[in-house]
Amino acid sequence: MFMSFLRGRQLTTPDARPIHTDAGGAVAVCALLDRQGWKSCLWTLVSFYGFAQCKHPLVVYDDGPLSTSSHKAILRLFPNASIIDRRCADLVIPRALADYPNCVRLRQTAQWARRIIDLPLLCGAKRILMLDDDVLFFKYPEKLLVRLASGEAGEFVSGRAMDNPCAHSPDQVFERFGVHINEWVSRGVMLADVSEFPYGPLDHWLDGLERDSRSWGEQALWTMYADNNRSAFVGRENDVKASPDLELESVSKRYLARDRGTSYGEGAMRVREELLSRGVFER
Amino acid sequence: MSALKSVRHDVKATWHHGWPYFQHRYLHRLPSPDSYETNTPMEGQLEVHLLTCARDFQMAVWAALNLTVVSRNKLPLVIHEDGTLSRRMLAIFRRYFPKARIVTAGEATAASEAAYSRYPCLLSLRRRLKPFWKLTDFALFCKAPRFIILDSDQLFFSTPHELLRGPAQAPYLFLRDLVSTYSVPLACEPWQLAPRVACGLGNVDKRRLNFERMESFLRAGTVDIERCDMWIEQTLWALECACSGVEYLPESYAIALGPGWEGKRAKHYIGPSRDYFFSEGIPVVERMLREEGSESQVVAETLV
Repeated sequence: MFMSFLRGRQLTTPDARPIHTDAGGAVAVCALLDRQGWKSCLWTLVSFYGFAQCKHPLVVYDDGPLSTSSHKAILRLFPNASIIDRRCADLVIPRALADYPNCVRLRQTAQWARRIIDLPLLCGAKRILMLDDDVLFFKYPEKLLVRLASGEAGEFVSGRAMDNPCAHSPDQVFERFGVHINEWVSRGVMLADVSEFPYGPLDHWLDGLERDSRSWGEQALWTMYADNNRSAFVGRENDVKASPDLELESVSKRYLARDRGTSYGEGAMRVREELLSRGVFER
Repeated sequence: MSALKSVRHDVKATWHHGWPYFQHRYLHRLPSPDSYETNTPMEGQLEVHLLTCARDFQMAVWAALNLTVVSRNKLPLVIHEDGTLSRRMLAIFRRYFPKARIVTAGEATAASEAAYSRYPCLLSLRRRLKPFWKLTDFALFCKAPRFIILDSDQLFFSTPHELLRGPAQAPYLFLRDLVSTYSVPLACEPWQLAPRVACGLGNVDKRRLNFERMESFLRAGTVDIERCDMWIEQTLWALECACSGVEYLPESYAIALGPGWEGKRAKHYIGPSRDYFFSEGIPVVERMLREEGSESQVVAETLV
């Protein structure tokens, strides 16, 4: 906790020019911001929009609560972004999901749950591109943008993880919940069709998980939602790698916990240098 | 909310939002009434109807002034008060909107009791829920074929052309809600409700309102009239929309879930996001009105 606080203090907010996004659209770019990781998340978003040069609407979920100055910093970079205050979400979501008590209970107890429970309802789009605050983009994400443009119904696209996020093997998950999972789904960069988000099955899974009293994370639930039959990977250049260094072919890199210290800051500076020539940052 | 909770919220909100919030929320700053020409017409084809109470009074003044200025004084304004407004508040309304019609609670109740005597369920809800007056009273006191429903917590950041123009085909035009928030499920056999209707902002053809149908819906027993909450009003609007047709305002008309106004034409500050009405919305509108109007001086008004 202390180290993440220190990292948050060390990292500066990106000094990029304002990036104007659309008010609405079929795909929303979503991110969850907390007090520790909001600056790194801004670097994630600047690196994505800077390289992708797209205008998909941006929805950021303030799970801090962040200060007014943090809001101002976000809106300076992304003037058209929709910021969701968690207190406002607390007004809407419990009523909307009154039939799914496990979902409502989980979002009250686990911070990460808001990404999978709140954002599909509040993002205002049929599909969401979820970006984690530990991801940075270093090149034009061509394959990801092709997927964004394709609009295939029900699709679920992600980077490839290094290990199975579920506490059980795929066979055990199938035996217990009747879902075939793809165990390599990574939530760092994730595109999902949420137009008919299945809160019913999610509530059922959570019922089983709670009885099991295991702390399964958001990634496991997304993996189950993705289902093995429709989950796909963006491409090798978006895979999560163990090496702290950036590989030549990598379009994006997910900085896992052990690399978050200095590596992320170095990565952010590299993003800045790359984007200087594209006019995203001012010299 | 208990008094202690309320004070706690106020202190926290002031700490979080800073001086702009404090001065608008607690010093009740209002623009000088002489600075803007609020010369609304007495009659027209489209009227603006606003229901307000003492708690929302300051917001209502800003909302009505905001719409009057961005619509260039073209729309007759009708202000409905729920019986909680003080004489001073009514006087302030009259000072800001000299040509607006102010419908008092007593006048509205007398007229509604007579006009809706054939609809006991509707009347019962009207007696119990004040937000329900928007459904019964707006249509009753509207002299034009169409009216705009304006909530006190609504602000406009540019001219709302789509709202003023009205729907292209359907009789109703409403703000799109984040989720469907009704007293009954969307499919409530044999009834069907239109999804995601937010009745805080809309443009309505009053001739198409079917109170017979609403009464039948309430009589069918799908809703407990004695216990249902204020969402019943929105539910009945959604019923009308499903039966007669509805169009939605574009995405630039947003429901506020947090801060941020750029790229938006209008924002509806619901629930906890009302704090942003004071900290973000009023300063933006104030700036906009200042640019629209002449050299105006914003003065601090003490309303209480």
